[in-house]
Amino acid sequence: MMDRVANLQPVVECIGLVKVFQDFWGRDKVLAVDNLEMQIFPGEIFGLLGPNGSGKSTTIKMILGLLYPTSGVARVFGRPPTDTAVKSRIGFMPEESYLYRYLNAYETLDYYGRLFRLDRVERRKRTEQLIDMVGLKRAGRRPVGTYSKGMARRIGLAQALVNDPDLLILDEPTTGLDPVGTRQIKDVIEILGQRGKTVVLCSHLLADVEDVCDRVAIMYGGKMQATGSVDDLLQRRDITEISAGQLDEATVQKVRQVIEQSGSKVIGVHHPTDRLEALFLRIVSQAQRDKLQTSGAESSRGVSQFLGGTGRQPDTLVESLVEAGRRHEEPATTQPSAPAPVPEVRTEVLKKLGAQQEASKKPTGPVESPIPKREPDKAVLDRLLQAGREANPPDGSSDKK
Amino acid sequence: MFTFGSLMGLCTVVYVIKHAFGRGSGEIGGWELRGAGQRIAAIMRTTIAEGLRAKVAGGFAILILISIPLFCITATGDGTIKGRVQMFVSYSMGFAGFLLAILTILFACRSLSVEIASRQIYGIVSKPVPRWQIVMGKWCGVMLVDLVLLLLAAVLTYSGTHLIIANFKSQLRHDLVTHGSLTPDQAATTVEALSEVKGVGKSGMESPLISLFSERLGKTQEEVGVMLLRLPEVMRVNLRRFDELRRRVLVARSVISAPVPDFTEAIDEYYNMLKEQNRLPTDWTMERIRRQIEAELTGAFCSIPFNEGRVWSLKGPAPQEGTGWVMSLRFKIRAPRQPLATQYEGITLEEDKLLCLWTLGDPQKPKFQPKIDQVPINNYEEIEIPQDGVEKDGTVIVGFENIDPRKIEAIFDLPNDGLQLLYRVGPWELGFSQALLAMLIPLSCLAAFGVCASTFLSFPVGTLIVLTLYIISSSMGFLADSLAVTKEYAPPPEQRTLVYETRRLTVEALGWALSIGDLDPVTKLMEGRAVGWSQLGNAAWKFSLLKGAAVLFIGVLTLRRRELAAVIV
Repeated sequence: MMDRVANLQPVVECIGLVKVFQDFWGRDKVLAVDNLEMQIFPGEIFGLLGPNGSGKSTTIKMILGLLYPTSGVARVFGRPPTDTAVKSRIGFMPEESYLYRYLNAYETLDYYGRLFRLDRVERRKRTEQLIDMVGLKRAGRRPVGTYSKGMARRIGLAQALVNDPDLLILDEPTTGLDPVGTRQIKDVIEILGQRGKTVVLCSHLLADVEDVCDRVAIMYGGKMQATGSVDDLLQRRDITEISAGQLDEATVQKVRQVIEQSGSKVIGVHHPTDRLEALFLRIVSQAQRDKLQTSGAESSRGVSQFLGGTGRQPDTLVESLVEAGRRHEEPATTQPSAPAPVPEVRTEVLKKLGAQQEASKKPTGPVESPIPKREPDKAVLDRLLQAGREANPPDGSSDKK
Repeated sequence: MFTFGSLMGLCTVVYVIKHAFGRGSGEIGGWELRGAGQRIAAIMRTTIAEGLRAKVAGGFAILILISIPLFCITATGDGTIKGRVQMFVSYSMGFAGFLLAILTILFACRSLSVEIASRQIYGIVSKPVPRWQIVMGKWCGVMLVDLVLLLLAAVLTYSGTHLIIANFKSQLRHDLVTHGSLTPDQAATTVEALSEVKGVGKSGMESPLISLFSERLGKTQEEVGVMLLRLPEVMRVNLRRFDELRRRVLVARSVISAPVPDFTEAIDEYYNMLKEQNRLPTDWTMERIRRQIEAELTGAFCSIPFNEGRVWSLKGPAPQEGTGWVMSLRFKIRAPRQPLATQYEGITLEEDKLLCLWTLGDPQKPKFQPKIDQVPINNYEEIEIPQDGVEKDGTVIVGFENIDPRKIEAIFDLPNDGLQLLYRVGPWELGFSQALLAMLIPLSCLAAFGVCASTFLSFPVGTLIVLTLYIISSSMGFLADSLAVTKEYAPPPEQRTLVYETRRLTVEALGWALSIGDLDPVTKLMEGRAVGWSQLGNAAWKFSLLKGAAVLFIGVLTLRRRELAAVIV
């Protein structure tokens, strides 16, 4: 990614950015951002990570012109953040949805559409699509003041997308969202990324960032502590993970022997479990197929057409898998779709058995947690232990083999 | 000032609207205009929607809906139909103006401060909306709510006025049938004729009512007189008052003030005479001497001692033939001491009234019999002038003689509104519309103060401050009086201390900075005087376009400099 973008003009550029908050008397009290150097390039999905109070939101607010730097420079599309021409290309979802309580969802999106000078037909089209996309069609005529936090976050996402932004800035986007909404935000990010849009994701929910970001920066104490691609930062070169289809015990033993012959050792052998997110999405998808009523937000209807989505979500698990398959076959041309809720089997990795030192590839489907993070599958362990006992009986029967 | 100011204002407004709503680009001093109209309109709509749904405007609308009908039922005035209508119009529009001022302060002060406090402003500022458009959008939203509520108050007042008149006519029809022995049809014809009376109102058998009723009913004037005498006394008085109401209240009249001559030459002459006679005070400066001479000359011109007279020539518009053209002479006589009731050669001279003689036309060849009357002092009075009392070019020559044997000076405050000529320029609806526009001018200025305050103050603090400023601006006269900086208390320039000058400058600066209007539309509406388009233009330029824009500009600069996500630690 870095090679691809190295020669491009950065979308966001911070040079020696410093922000000091003062007290009532103008005395410097808090150094929120300290000499920040940061560049975000076109088409990047950039994650800004850090614990609470690390300066993430302050940096975002300086990029948006909501705060002015104490020193240093922030540029967006090569211009000052206060430039209205710049702002017309930005979509911003703040850390909480600060909406007009008495407007309903349609009025809210129509209002923001007017601020972007969209004509009436376009406003109506985008409003309809976005409300459908965020699953608020049924609650669309209710004042947003009556929405739950998650529903307000959904409308917050919709307003950030109303102008089809070139730069989407999401500040803690998944806070308060159910897994469907969380998944949806990730879908939107992925689709915008595929369309060459730039996304800045500011979060302390590491799994969200890890799932979608090309590059991340980690802030602490107002300073940039680390920056780089997700692969580079997360890759553990001291461990190799192999995934395969169903293997019988004998084959597992053979693999184990091959590994041990190469001088390494097997840390664990187990069957991967499904992710809770995938399970949740499957249940909601089933409920939707059964046409169960809800007064809250409905599950995703895909991604709005004007954002590059198909505008519909696959109805069945099979369709989801087909959609996911299509995505892998035609990554550049196919229309984006809803996520496949089942982890894929990465058979190609098996072919590389024996070549342990070769750099592993980033999974192309939904990301699985690395092996050390998983709880060991006790059934597998029991079988392995049993197999081990059979191979090396205490009475020395193995020697007979 | 009017021509230049209005032209400048008009050009600015046209330029801004053209570029704000047009497709091309345009800017003033780096302030982008392209697309401004749509964005300002969007912010305005949201401000109004928020205001309506937060029940702020709704609460005030309910107050108006309750109070004005209540005034319509309870207003009595001096007990006559004229007094009742005047009091109702004065109370309802005055109360609506007060309510709208309070609403404007509340609404404007919360417009931005609440959005900043609740961070809703992030949603606007992160969009391509320059901050001046945010401020303008909020101001427009407040003004539109004001306009709607003012129209509501206007509709209720207008309807209420006509309801009072309809009730009066209904009562008159009833009295004409029961006491005047007329048939219902005759009573209806008589009541209808009331709206067509022409000419100067007079009492007794000379009243134009008698001749018109006589003509419509086919009765002699004596029969009509007898029929009217059978009516209850209250109704008889009301018949005359209703005629006055039509011609003096429910009408739009323009005003010409009696000219005050230029005393420059007289001052020079007087000064030189004193100098030649070596009578100039040695310890006075020349300006002080000249000012004193001017004050004395003006006082002498405005004061009419016993047995002296004055003739004024006022130039009005040429009369329109056959329209029942009526002009009115409006005046207020002041007296240096109170006239006490007394008897003089069999005549009862009433308390607080001066015996005066009025003539119309050339005093040497008066067109009408001189009118001798006892005129109340310190009250505005009107004398109607018939069409044939006006010269063909519209000039009215009025003579006044002080014949009160109590030898009290009659003083006309000519530099202010001591003597004026009023003439009809249109129906009451015209005067009413102008009064409504005039009421919007101070509201626009107040909205600008409120929106400006909301850019840097929280809602309660901003409201408190703007409300205080509004109260101060409404009581500047009282403030000046209590700080003893009015003309009456002003010491000679040489004796003025630093403390006095500080007080005077403070009051003047406050008056200049806080004044939000000088048209007094409710009083004018009550007296049947039109505000006038030129006065409206001047006030709009001075208070809305100059002061309001200047205050909004300060608000924009504040908002532009303000870090909306700043945290004070």
